[in-house]
Amino acid sequence: MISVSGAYQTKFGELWDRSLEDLILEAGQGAISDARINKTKIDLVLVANMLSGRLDSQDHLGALAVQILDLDQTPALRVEAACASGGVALHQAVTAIKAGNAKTVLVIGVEKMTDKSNSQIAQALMGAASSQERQAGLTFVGLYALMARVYFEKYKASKNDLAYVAIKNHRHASRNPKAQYPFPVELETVLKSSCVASPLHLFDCSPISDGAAAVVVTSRPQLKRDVAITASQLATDSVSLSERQSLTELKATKIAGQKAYAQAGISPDNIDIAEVHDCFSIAEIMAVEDLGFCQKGEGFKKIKHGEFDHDGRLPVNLSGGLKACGHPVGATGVKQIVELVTQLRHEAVGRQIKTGKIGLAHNVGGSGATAAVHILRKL
Amino acid sequence: MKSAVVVWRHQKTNYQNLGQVGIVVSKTRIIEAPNGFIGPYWVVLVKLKLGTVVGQWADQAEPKIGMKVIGILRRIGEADPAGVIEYGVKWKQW
Repeated sequence: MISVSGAYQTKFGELWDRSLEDLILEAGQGAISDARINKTKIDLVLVANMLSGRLDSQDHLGALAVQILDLDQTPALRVEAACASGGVALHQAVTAIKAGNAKTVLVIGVEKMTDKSNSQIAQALMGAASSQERQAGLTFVGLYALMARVYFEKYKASKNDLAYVAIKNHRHASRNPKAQYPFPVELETVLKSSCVASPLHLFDCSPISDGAAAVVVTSRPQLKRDVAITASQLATDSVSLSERQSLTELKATKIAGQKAYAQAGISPDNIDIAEVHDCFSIAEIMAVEDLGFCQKGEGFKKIKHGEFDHDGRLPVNLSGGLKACGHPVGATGVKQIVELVTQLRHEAVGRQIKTGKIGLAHNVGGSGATAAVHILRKL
Repeated sequence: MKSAVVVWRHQKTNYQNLGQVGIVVSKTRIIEAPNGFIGPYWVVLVKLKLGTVVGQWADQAEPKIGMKVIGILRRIGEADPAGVIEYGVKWKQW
């Protein structure tokens, strides 16, 4: 059995007084301390990150993390899969343990983004898109806006329907002291926010964030606080949006989700809590549909009616999601695991779900080119 | 910054949709543009006979879903500091 024995998240936000190294140190030490192990037990360090080379002129993050955390000669490497770097790094940790190459792996997700301007970040993130999309002057907001427009046409949804994703996730974030935006927002505020790429407005978008999260993954005999990883799956699709068969779903999410349910021996109905990739409001709507939590074309209605609220049928994004907890891209997939572990241990003060043993994390890279789905179970 | 060599290499693929006719299947008006572009501008997703492409809109009229469009030659992006100007295909109503 492979389980998560330690989990830690730094505050997410505009952390002007914190460097990339500071974030790695806090998250790494936090997860090791939470796992209650001696750091000499760590066999491998994986650092999930997308942009440190472009934004901070800092590559070679694996060895850097080992130096910062004083982990001696521990093998280490960086994992990059755009915004899915965190989920993919966790998958690599599971793979390394299954292969017998490690017993205990430290996975750190980190990103330092707010030192740069919005246009520099928009350009850097487009490294996860295709050359044709870059030449067209698209941004990631623009790519998801193209999907939103097709979704609106097909399912008769509107810009107003998207607003309920932001309202829900801000409400959840208001109970999470580590969230970037720990406050609720009103419908009017969301609808009146400025347009970024039509039809998506500011409150349809996750923010530019600094932050880190880390987990200790281990095959050691399970302790009471440990949370088992019962499924770890990846899938990919074309990097170019124009090559996709459908623009109202992410095929990689559907495939990774179906494989994860099969691996865990469960169905979507068995999930008690989920953290899904809501980089934009339309992304959460497609995610809850593609993961089988509701029928296609029903996601925006279910969100509006509260089915995915804290006290709803299936709580989704209790951390506040990418939208309100923040989206330091390399850290996001790891933060989702930290939130699920915290909830399944019943340690989520102020936002704890009443019951539930099974959680799902869904992390997406690019406009849907990579999807990582993990299922966790508290025994 | 694009090098002159990259712009030269892009010529092999940049013009392949020149004169192609298709239908707009989605659109977005980019307000917050990335480095190298000055917003706002429209980007359209165009369905052609042999596939779908994305490109910038280069017409006075606002693009509409279902509109018939044609690929035309235009400058793409801002010239880089070395002064190399890249050309490619944009779209307008047909």
